[in-house]
Amino acid sequence: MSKVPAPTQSSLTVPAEMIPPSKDPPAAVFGCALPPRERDARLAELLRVHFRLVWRALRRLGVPEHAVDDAAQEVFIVAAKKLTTIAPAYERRFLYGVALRVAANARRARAARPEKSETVELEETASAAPSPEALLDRKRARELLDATLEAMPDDLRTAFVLFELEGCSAPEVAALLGIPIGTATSRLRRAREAFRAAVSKLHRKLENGEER
Amino acid sequence: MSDLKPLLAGEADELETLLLRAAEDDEPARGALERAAATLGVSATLLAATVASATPAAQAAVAPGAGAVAKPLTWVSLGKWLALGMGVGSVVAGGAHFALAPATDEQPLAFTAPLRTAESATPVAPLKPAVAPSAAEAAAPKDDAHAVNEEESAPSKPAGTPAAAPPSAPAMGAPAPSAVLPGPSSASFAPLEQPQAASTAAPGAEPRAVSASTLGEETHALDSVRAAIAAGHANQALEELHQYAKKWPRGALAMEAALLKVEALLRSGNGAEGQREAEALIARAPRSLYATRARELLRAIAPRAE
Repeated sequence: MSKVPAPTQSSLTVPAEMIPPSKDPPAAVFGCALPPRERDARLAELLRVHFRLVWRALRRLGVPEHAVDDAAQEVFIVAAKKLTTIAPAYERRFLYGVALRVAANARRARAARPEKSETVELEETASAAPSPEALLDRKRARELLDATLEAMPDDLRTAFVLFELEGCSAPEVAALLGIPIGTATSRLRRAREAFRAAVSKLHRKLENGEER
Repeated sequence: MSDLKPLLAGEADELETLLLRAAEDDEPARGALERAAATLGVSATLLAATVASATPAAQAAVAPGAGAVAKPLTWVSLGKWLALGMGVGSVVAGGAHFALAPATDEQPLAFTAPLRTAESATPVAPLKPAVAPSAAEAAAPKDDAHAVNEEESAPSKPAGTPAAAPPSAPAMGAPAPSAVLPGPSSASFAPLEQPQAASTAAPGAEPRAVSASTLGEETHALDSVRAAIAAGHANQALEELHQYAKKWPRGALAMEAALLKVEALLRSGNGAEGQREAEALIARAPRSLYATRARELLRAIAPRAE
């Protein structure tokens, strides 16, 4: 009867593929294609509320500093294409979902073409005793955080970043990663153990440094 | 399952909290949002029109877990780590060099705690990361605000490009001067006046001018000033700076305070005095990051404040 395929609720889960580019998104769950003005207003709102959030999550998920602006744009380009399918209450989740894939791609790209200067090895940073200004420096603290995250396996890191740093709940983490909640919880616990182990190692280094 | 709470909501120890919270105020360089909007075909005016009103929401959304719990750790409690570091204080690890003024007639920089490194491309607004655009708007007509963003925005490539900091973060994002020298391995704790008689400094090799707790308090005081500026309360910031100067006439962070004073004055509409303060600061250490930052503030704010 109708040729229009039934819309799906895909916005609630991580979209598996980027849909083909289109200036006029097809009619979907949340209304027909938006008029340009409304589209722009919604996109502007999305950017305003979530751009920093997405940007930061991408950084912690391992997108190198020089690539993170582009990666964040990529996330919002996907969002713009799917704008009409994103329920307002699920904007953040949708964006995180896309961000996870973008970050995974970036990590893969980086692994294929390692850039030594981008990541600071924890071993390397901790062995040289940080000076006071370095410790008080938030950027420095972030480098240490990133080094700690870098040392985690990707699956643990992702769960950790979402839960500990981005404030996602455990069920949200499970939904985003497409895993059962029990798995998510145990992953979160293991991630936390890894983090704490790395931090206490750092702690010891600092204290040993004092005696030198 | 629901017994699993974020570390920052309770269990994190000091160092863990420090590391985790270091992520909170990480944010894109100015202009990144505008560039993304442009890529998406969203007009700058549409975006700029409501950036100010939307940022609190953005912040609320940023870290419901981490933000809401607001552990009372401030940079003050870093005193402990500071003390640890000070005993060693010789190596700046991982390339976190500080660009200090070359050794000329200028004074060395005061203890540069909150100054960020030269190679950073990610300006950070302490306490109120989202305020930068609104602050820019407060000082400029809308179109100009965007122009300022464009002008100051740092490209995402870190190499060699000075990162412009948002005006609300004077001390955190000072761009590198054109001739950046790698800092000496340990920064001098030189207060504004009497650099040699620096408070309790022993005439030894290791500069130990400031006790960790004092420095922590100073840092805390200036954080509060920064927050006031970011919230648009320039006069309150000035008052707090006055208190700071009274309490620590030779504070280790005096240069930092001077820079904040410049910004507060400029933002309070007192452009002439702000300019004078800025010039004094620049004269004091013309090639320091503080001077660079002061010039930048003058460029960004002064013409409109006057």
